[in-house]
Amino acid sequence: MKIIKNIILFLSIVSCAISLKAQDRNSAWVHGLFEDGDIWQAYDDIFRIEREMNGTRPVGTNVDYNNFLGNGIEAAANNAAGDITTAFATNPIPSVNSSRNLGIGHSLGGIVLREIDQDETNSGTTNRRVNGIITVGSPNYGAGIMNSIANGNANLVIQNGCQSLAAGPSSSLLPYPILFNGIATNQLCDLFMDDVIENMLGFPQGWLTTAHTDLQLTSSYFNDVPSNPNDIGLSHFNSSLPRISVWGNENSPTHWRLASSFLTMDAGLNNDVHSDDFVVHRVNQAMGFYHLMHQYYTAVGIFSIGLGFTNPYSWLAVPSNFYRASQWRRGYNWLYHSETTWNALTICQGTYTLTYTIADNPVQNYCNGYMFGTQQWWNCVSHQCGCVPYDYTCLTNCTSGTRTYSETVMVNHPSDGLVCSYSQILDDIPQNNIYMAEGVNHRDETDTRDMQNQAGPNGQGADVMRDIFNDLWNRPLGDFFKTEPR
Amino acid sequence: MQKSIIVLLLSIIVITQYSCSKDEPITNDDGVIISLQPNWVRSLHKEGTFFSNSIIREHLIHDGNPIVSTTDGENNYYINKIDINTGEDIWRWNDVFSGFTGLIDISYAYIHDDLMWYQFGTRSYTIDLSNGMTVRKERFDESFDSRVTGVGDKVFVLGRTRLDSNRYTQYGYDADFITGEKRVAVIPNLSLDYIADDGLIGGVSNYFAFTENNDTLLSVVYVEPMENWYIDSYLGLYNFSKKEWIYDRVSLVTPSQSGASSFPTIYENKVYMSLGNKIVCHNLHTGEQIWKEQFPLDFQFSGFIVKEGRVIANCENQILYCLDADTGSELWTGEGSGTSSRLRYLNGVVYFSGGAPSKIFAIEAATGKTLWRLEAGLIEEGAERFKPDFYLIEDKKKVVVCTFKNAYCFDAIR
Repeated sequence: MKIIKNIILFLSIVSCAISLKAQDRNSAWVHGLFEDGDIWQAYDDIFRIEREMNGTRPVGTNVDYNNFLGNGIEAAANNAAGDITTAFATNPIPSVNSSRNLGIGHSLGGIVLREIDQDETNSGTTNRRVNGIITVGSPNYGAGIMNSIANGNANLVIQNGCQSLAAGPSSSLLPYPILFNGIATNQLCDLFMDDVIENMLGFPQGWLTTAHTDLQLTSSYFNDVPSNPNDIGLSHFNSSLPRISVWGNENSPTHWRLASSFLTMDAGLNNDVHSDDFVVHRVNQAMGFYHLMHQYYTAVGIFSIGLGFTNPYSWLAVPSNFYRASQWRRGYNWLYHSETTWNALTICQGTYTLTYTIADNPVQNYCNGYMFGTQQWWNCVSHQCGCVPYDYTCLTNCTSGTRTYSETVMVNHPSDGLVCSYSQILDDIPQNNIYMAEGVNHRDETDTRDMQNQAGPNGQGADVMRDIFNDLWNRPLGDFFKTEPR
Repeated sequence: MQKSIIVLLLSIIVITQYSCSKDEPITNDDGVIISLQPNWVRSLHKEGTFFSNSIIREHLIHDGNPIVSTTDGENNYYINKIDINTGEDIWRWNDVFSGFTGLIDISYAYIHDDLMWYQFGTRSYTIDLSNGMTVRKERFDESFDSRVTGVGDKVFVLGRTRLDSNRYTQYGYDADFITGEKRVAVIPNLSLDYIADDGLIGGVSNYFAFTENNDTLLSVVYVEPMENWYIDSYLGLYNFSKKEWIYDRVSLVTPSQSGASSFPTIYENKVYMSLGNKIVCHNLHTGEQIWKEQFPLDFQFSGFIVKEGRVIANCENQILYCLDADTGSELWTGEGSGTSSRLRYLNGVVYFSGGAPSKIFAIEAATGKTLWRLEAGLIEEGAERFKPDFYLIEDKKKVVVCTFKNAYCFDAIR
């Protein structure tokens, strides 16, 4: 069945290629960090068939820009620019510098396209490779996770997680609970860091390239403001090109959903059926088990205390049972707080000052027990309102019936599980050029097709990214991104 | 004997209690209805399977029956006319051109008597809605906008026109419902001051046809390109019957890079449009601007309606705005949902579904009070979203909404 589908798809693409017309726009689908061109295959294929779009996935077909990351993003972008030129030149309808050439970049791919834009602007190039850019899940102002990896915080958190998950089973001399595919709970932390994050970000050997340093939130690559304007950091570069930011807004728990998508799309789990709650279910099971074991050893400890009154030897077992209970609790706590921890690592947390006014008359509420006008009454007024005695203006204001409070609270910024919304969204584009991909994590952003065939929070029938791209192509007459259906 | 009577009475009480509670709407603490018992439910797919589906944003109703999108679970997509009383199929259709992905996208359609015209790109169809048969099916030479309007049996469409190898525009065409034969209906008066890098010299972006004094008139929005992909928008009124402009080149809003415009909406000698994040009101017969209001975001997906002296607009910032239709002054704000179904209206209540909150809302038009905030998960186990496909059958006072799995029919509020 799959072969037949592939044949049909192939024939469709062939027939589409035959029907290519001069008005077809070139689009370069650029992959992200340590991805390859195939990451965009789904939508490149679909929109080549459906829209007047001659899509290519140029980067990765020649010498891939991943090989140049050791010299930083600028070097990678130079390489990618060459790939784009080659691809557009060898299109069925060659058009290297067409005014309608479009670049679509996932993650670092969006930064690469913006870097090319900056280079061409600085060099005064009039015939640009691309004249409009769509960034998808791109860390436009940096990625906090790169800072956390570089300063060692990520490693500490992962180590702590592994130890916490192992503590309960070790103290009880029990094997680790098995979650799925032979993976035990104590490996969950390691699996997330090694298999998901390190592979996604390209740290198989645990080293940092210059590009990884460039991608830090505070890097000079993004933030430099030197005397030579041509060397200005990308965050400060004012582009004249039409640009759109598509940002992933994953549902909680974002980190386990990100892991689910990666493991089911890239690591072959769940029979390769894309799911973003595959790990979530198992983590919930693990939390339930750790909680149960904590309760069990607590109960045994309490029972041992009671039993000790008839058999004093039982008291000897009390400390060990309470210790075991606390060790299982460690694992539960790590899982329970893991999303908050992850948000701290990705620097998707911030503070927000909340100011609110409530109906209140403290004099009436708290000072009525004293005789009006007496020293005790004024002392109470001073305490409640901060008024000195006989300051009737202050008193009037205090009894006006409202009081304003403010408090600072910790908030989590929305994110795609890896890059926070504040970095995914370009801050110098019109509001109408910002598109939110709801329920989509960093790995999903290049392909949400499978989500459409699943019930539950995974998909609900919506190919979210395809719908967003269709909305982009349907923009009004005269808009750069409008791309007609065939 | 006495024991049997007690058992019987208890059974009746239990059954009665159960029946009553089952049919009662569920309300939250604020008195807003969050779940209802549907009149009927029908699967949109093959027996319990779950599959991706087409999206119908247009309000497709014929003979008081909705036309919904379905699949057969094997990569085949259909539109089905279903009986409003039972949810059962009357007919189904999928006579689309092959070679594409198969999804049927009906964002706009024009229905007159039994015939429906819709198009997507170069693909255009006329379907007989009484029997689900294809009347016309053709590929145009150029891609056509999916927007379509009409008067009687005259269909008006928007199509790209190539002037030469370097320049193109978009004209309005009138077309024959049955044969599809097209003629240029309206050519905008363009300044030709600037040609976009892609060759666009400007063109009609939207229009709406209506009759007045036996003449067919077209309220036309057209655009001209500017540098850096900015767009300037103009309004005109064209007498199609007499082939003359009543007025044209009335400037609408400040040029911007994102000027998505809605259909012109005609109401009591005024014409209303949303352009980007603005809503404007002009005198229908002179073009003079009466008011213009700006909002945080645009109205691209859900749009606005003008009913009973009010403009009700569902903004992408998820706020529903109600404005005085005469002055543009704000009357109230209420719960909106951004990217959702278009707004439907019946007996003083505005309905819409989908969007970011992914619920079904019913909002009282006079006050902005939320009457319904139906949650998908309370109506269908495991469901989290509603599709933007939404139907309001006025004469039967029924609402038909869709999750990605099923269609549900409810009684309208009034």
